[in-house]
Amino acid sequence: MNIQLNLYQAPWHHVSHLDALAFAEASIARGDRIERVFFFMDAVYIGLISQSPASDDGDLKLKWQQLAQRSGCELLLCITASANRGLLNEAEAARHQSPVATVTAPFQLVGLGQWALGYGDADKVVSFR
Amino acid sequence: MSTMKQAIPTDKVHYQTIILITCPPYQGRRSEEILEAIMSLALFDRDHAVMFFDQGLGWLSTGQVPGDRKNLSKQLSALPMYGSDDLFYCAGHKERVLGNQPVREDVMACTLSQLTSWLRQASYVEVF
Repeated sequence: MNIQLNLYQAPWHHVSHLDALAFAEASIARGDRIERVFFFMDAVYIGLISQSPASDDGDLKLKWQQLAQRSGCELLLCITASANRGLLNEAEAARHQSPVATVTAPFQLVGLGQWALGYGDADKVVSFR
Repeated sequence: MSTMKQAIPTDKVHYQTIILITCPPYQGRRSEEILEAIMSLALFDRDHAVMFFDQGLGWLSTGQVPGDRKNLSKQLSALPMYGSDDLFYCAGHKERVLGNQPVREDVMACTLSQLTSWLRQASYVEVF
């Protein structure tokens, strides 16, 4: 089964990221494929490179990166929601004439069309908020 | 640019995706992002309907005066231009949320029973 995950909350706001990670791990373990993870609204903050969580908080960004490395899923940030919140990769930083890029791979900045794609090409779309 | 819609399209018994809006309007940037997401479904030809439910009926209030913020009512009016035509609200929640206020005319009333049927048949349900 191909699954798209949607996240809408900032990583420090709620347990939704931990829930989504646990769901993804369990799905992969049973043979499902996480096609893409789409971060929208405040969830785009997961891509912020300067996050420095306390040592006993756990590093959610690292957990997503490890999941992507193991499973091959795409980590997609809504490009408009990201720009509104100051999350820019090198190309977007140049386009917005910002002196600093705040997002790096494996997080990708993409249009909402990638979010919409799941509502047809994924067997299941599971949202966490 | 409201267009009067008085009846549920009888030939439409199934939507692939249902967007259920249960949150009140004017929740900062989040409200505009909900509309952007709906527009993207339409732009990518995803069969969908939008249902305003519970506090979500607040989006349908006429005469919204949001001050410095973008007028969500005007943005809602733009949805059909993107191809998002099937907009509904749960008639049973109208009085509780909007009282005697009129509901905008380009959104159709539907019963909880009809809504339940669509939700059961949909392949995808997204709740905002």
